[in-house]
Amino acid sequence: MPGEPYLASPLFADAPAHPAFADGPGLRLTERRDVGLVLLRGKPENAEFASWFRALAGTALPDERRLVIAGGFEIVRMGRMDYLISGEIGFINAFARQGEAAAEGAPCAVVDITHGRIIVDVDGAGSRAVLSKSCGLDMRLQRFPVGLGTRTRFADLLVYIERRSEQTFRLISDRATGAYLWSWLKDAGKEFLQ
Amino acid sequence: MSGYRLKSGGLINRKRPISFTFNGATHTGFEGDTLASALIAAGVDVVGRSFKYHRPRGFMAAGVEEPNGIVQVGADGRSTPNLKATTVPLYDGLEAVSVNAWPNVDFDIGAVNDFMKRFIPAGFYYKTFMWPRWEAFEPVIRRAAGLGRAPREADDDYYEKRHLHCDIFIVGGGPAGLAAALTAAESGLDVAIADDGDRLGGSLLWGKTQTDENDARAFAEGAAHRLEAMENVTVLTSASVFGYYDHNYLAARQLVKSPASRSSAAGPAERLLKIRADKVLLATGAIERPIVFANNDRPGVMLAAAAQEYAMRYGVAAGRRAVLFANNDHAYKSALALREAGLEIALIVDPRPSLEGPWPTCAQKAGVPVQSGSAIVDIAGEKRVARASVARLKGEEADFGDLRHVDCDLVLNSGGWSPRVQLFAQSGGKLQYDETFHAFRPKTSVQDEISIGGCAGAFQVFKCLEQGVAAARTACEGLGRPVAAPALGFAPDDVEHHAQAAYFRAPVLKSGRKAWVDFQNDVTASDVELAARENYVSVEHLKRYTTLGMASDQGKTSNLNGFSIMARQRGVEVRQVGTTKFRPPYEPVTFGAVAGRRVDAFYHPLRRLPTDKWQRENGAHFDDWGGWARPTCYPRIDERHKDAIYREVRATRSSVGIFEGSPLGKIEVTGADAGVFLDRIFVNTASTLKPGKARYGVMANEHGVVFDDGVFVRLSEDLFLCSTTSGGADHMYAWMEEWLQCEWTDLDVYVSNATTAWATFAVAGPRSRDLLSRLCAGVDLSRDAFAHMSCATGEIAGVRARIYRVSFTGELSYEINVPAHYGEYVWRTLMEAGAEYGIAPYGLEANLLMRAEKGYIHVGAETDGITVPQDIGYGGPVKKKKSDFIGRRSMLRSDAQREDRLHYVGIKALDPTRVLPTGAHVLDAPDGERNSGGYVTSSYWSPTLEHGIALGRVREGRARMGERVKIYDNGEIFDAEIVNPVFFDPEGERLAG
Repeated sequence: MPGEPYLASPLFADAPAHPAFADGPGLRLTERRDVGLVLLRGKPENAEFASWFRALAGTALPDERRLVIAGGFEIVRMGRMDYLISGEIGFINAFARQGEAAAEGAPCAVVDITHGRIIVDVDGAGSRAVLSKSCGLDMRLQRFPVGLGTRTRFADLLVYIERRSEQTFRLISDRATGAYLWSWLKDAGKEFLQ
Repeated sequence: MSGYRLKSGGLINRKRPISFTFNGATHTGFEGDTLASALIAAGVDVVGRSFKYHRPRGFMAAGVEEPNGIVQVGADGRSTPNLKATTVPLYDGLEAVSVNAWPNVDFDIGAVNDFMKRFIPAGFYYKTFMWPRWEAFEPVIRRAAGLGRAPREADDDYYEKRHLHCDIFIVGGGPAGLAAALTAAESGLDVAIADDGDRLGGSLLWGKTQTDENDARAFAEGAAHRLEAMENVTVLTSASVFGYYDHNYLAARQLVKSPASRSSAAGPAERLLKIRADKVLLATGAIERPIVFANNDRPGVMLAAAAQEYAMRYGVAAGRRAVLFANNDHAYKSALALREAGLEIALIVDPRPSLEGPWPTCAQKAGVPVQSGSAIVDIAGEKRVARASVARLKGEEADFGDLRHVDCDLVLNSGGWSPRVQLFAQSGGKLQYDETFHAFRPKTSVQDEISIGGCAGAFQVFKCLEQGVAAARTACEGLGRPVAAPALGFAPDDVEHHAQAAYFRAPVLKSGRKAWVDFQNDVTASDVELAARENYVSVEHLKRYTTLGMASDQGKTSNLNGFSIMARQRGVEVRQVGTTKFRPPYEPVTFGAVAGRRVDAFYHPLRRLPTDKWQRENGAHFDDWGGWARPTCYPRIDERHKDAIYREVRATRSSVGIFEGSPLGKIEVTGADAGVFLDRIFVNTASTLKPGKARYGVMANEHGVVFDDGVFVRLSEDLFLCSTTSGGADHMYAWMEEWLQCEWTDLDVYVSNATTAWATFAVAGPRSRDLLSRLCAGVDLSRDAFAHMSCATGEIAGVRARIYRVSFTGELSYEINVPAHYGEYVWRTLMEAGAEYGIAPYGLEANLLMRAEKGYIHVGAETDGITVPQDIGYGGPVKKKKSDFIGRRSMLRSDAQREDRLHYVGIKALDPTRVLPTGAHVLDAPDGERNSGGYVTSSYWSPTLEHGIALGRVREGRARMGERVKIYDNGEIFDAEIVNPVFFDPEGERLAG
């Protein structure tokens, strides 16, 4: 038997126990395997859904595409009826199980997507330049402020991008294309990693 | 050898000599030179051969408009064809060769065409090579055509793309662009400014103002430094903006790395910039036009401003004794500047009958002879100009009896300036013909754009500066920013210019002498006249008939002259002739820049399995299956793929096999109305399914056509999990969302695509239960407790799992779903635990083969764009189902219910050793002719049954069981029999085992 269950990185790092990492003078790429993700789907205009969420999470549903920090998790409205909840993986796993049970009969869906996604933080002076090689979004601070998140086409992939500070972006993409995304970022950022 | 290096002047670094080769000969230039300026300085006269007649050609221009100096630069994979030597910066070790010349540029066999040119005018190919057929001539003509050679080797360099956003994007770093950039930048806007030169300044770097050229240079250098120091400014040099698209979206190609480095480690070779700006200022300048006169393509005939640029910017004299032929005052400034630099101006020839204004006076005061009302009517010299023949004009004709021959080695000419309106026109802007400078200029903008400076018809420096500041002010106001007025420190140039003559073409001294219009494509004035006579009078037809304005040149120096000749032939004004459609790219773009980083591993984002690492470590052979890198089979050393597939099938059928099926679509459908929703989505009924059970479902579109299938399970009252085909998950998810969001908004249903959140493995074979029973917890896998088409949640090897008893192989089989990050762990566990049963991983080929043995359809193979459920034996649910569902109406049409449709059947060759070819046709000959009565959709050699098996769709197939048919493929006929498609275990005993 191969021992205790382990989480294998979708980036196929050599040491599966450690998240992938690349660092250089102008860029730092970090795989965030310590972060869990839950997709919450529901119609915000439905008062029953809103109160269901408040009872579950102790906070209100956010209205805008801005990151809201609430207790042990962060939540952002990704679309008309899509909310992304993220946080420390243990907390999110428990939250997901609790949410799935609570969602039985409720006007919403709770889906644990931790294992279906990869999360990469792109940080450093070269972060914006690397992103500008990969997607057509206007990443200027005044147009893409801290806390804003959006889904977009990035290196021909569907990627959710969130700005966490002036020079830090979080990229969330499909697990199956994680290795491609990671290689792409390292290649696009090589001028800042060397 | 007429060109030479001036003793002083220029923006070159004379302390830094650079060695390079041209056509194998070694030369030396200086840092700051272009290849063209260095070659002129080295006395090289002939730099290329013309496209059609292979006439010797020298440099005519100094920038992107150069039509003659086309070279191939670099070696091996880094070799780049069709570069203009005027835009190639000189670097140590540069290797360049001329194109379109054999054996060499000085002695070119192809020059024999020049002696036959009266027999091969425009349109010659179209008329001559029709008989007996074009294909007979095509290979020879294709070999003769084209400039340069595409390298066969891989390019060691890399290229990249980058998006750039700004408030204001300025195209052109000349006086107008610099003034605009300074104004906008000091007002706090995000500014980007691009110039195709290696430094900002444009014509200021070589132009002569009224006072001193140093004023202009100092201003340019100062402005460039100020802009580069500002954080809100992006300066893009060596960046050619080649496309202006909708929504103020522009594209530029930037040369990034010095080719001298010869290493990809030094950074990208080129960068393709995709620019979006709130406001665009086009300060693209203007291009000097040549005049069309006899033998005007001889080496040594050059645009006046080009000669000035070579002298002022590069310290190079293009000749020693020059004649200027010009119809405007600007060219006089060039002549005077050249004279000051040390060239002799032997004569200025001006077609204007009377010369007024300060510039002709300045020339005469300087002792330069000026002959008005005259034209150059012939040029003598083969590989270098030797003499110009000048005649007085009488209306449009010339008095050839009063010829004046002037010995010279340089003929400067200027037919006026044409605004560079290409980008403006690409943006959708409307042009108008300007009667003062006889060229097209911007009239009406369509996008948020302003044209300024030379491209708007302002040819004096101070006017350019004024327009730049004004446009930036407008931009600031439009964006709600206060305007800061920068100190430009530039005095007005108040010297008036005398009216320019509308003079495009001079009389020709001798009949048969050609006067060139398009130098790059060898289009002469007589070619344009011929096109007019043959009724190719539209400019677009003219372009295609003569090739005027084609290729890398795109008519920069030739279009207007060609249009003016056409106008004269038609007896209309030039404005009535119009222009051809300007399309991107304005300048050639390398394939490398277009591809960017999307090469090799980045060509296509291939999706990876959760167990990808294990698969690679254990010899899986991968292929691209619908965008997923999936194991086709697991060949052992020296084992053929076919044998590996058969081995995998036998191992699964005899003991246990394991299949990596993670790409299988997994869509979660939740909500109180989930059952109702799926009843409408599937052809069969979902709402009656009990929790803990699974059912096979077929999905059809509104036309009743089957487009996906899969098993759906009901884990709880409100939670269904729908499997889709591996390639169909994204489409199926979008399909469900569309119906929910747009049509059935009243349903309380939520769908989520969880395909990649779960790793999915099929464990199949008679020992599969034995294996899983050792690893699973929380699920009773016994035959009675967990029958075929059951589902449950539990654990496997300590990992939470969703377990379905379903089969695609016809074997006792389980589908294991675990959170994807645990997939590799669970797979390794299964492999290790299964070792005692001889567990074998099986790939997609074995999987497909086993499903064919069992007679299961594969959507996309056994179905096509017209297959309805009845065709594949699924007519029962269509008839019986009470509630409505997608496609039902179409399925109930008489056509969908015809008995003579193509039915899904099995086909077996009478010779059991034969494997029928997939795609082979079932012959149907009721009228004595060979008609197709269906075709083979899948065909294999069955290692289980040890004979060939095939699936197909045959007309009225279900009613023809046992009938013998002929199968046709590529001239070969096979005898076969229509049979039940279930070849293996038709009673289903193994499935239920």
